[in-house]
Amino acid sequence: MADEIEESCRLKIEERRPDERDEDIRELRSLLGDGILNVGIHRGQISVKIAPSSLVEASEFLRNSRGFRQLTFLAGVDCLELPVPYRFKVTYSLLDFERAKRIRLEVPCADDLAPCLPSVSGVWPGASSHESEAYDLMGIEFEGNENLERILTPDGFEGYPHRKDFDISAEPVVFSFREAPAGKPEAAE
Amino acid sequence: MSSETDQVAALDQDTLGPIQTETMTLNMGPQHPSTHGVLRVVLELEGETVISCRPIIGYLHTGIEKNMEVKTYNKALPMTDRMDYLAPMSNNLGYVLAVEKLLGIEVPRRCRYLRVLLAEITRIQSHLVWLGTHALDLGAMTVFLYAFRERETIIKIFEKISGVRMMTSYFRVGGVAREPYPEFMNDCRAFLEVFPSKVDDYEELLTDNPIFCHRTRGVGAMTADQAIGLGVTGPLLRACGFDYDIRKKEPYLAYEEFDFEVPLGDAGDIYDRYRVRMAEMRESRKIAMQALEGMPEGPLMADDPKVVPPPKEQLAYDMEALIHHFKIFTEGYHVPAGEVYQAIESPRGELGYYIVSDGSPLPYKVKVRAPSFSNLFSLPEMVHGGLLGDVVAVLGSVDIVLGEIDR
Repeated sequence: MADEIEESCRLKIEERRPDERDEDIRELRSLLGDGILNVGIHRGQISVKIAPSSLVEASEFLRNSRGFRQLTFLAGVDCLELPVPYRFKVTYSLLDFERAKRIRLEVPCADDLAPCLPSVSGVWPGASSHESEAYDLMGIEFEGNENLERILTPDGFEGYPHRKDFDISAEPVVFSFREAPAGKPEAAE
Repeated sequence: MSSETDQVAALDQDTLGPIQTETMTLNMGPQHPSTHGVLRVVLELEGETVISCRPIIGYLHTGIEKNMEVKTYNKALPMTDRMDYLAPMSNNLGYVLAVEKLLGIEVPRRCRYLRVLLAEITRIQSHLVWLGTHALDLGAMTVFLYAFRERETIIKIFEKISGVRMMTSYFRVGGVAREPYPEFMNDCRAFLEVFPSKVDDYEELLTDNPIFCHRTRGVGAMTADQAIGLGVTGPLLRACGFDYDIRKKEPYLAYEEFDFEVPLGDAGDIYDRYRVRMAEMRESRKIAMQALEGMPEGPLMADDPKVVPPPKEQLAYDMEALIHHFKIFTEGYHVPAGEVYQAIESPRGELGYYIVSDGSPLPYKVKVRAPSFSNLFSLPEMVHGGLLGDVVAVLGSVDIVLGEIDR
């Protein structure tokens, strides 16, 4: 009798948490425990929020043990205007070819003023250029990536364009015969 | 090739004695006819051998993704055309599918078939540009003219259907921009019927051509493992023998209803990439024919008046239509909050749109996962140890478009 009640309770829990039916999520949870902050499913796509300290471990696990061989992209997101307690997060999208399955990792950055995350270029070599792009456009640093550089913005560019507080209204044209407005780069001769 | 380098090395030590040698740094681009766009490649050479290669991008960065954040979803759509400007309908498709996913709306079957037809014709058109420019880099100028002659036919169809030769913005959220013109199906059929013989012509010029083979066989090879680690997708990955095509594995639109093969290479060199793309043109033609023959009847646009603007005539007598039209074109439609990543198989690989919505009519964040971005950064792997002349051949075979790399 008690077993039946327990059985039906367990089933109800699984019904209420569809993300727990997913093998990868369960394995990830048993590996990381508290490192997983949240699991969400939107429009059929799984998104796992992971603490920065667990990122490399999760990446290695997902790549080596769960078969997510390719990192499709990683993107920095400035959550300034979203109702979340952190400012920057980086989204990683992983692809498992065998099962044609995708999973997204969201890693909020601990520090709002100097966002920094460990690099995953040791796990997926192609991450290096994507991390450079996130650094260039959002200002998120990636520890362990020696090739971090500003790859999209021009040389000498200051500021991080994709941040929400970056002003994209009209900028006065800079001429070499007059002083540039404060904070803008000087024109070359 | 490697024996020549050994001979040079041997010469250095035995004959030249204590003469100092150093590597030469050569800059290729950003203005260069063979970099296929404003790409700068810094090469370190030991004689003619490439020791290292560093691609430098950013010369075409126009901040499209940032710009999309201040426009409504419909207004942001034409900006997507300009990224991969050689396959504009592909870009539109990826964006439109992502927004439709966020909105949770489905387009009718006829629209899906039409989108498949146009997406495959776009693939053919994009591969023709690749073929023409790649062959031109290697000296085969005739192929360039033939390929662009075929492409003209396609571009004329695009112009008749959307008003624009290249940046069509024909695919819209909830459907397409307008009904195809009356002779559209006949025009497509006429082109698709003569196309296979044209592909035969190109293959006759290149496939068994000794000069072409000598420049492409065994050159610029990459293993599937290297490619996967670097994020390479598309024909570049399939030429390494790895079978993954999003149209087959994660079907979108109506691809599961069509019968087509996914061509694979095995050596991962330039020649295999050429064979894969030529075969892909034939497969695309097959899919397009099936979409054409099997085009169902029915509505073209999704049934959601808040997203799909009403027909113009209705505005004259229907107040609700007028209000919907006004709201769609001024304020825009509210997209439910959430994030979505939609990937499609563009002619260059996996093109994906990662859109974050905060519930407002403007996208909060758009990240475009451009296939050429990852494909380009596999260049150092491919040219290392090769000759300088091979760099041009390899770059052509990667089929990059700087517009989507830099955005």
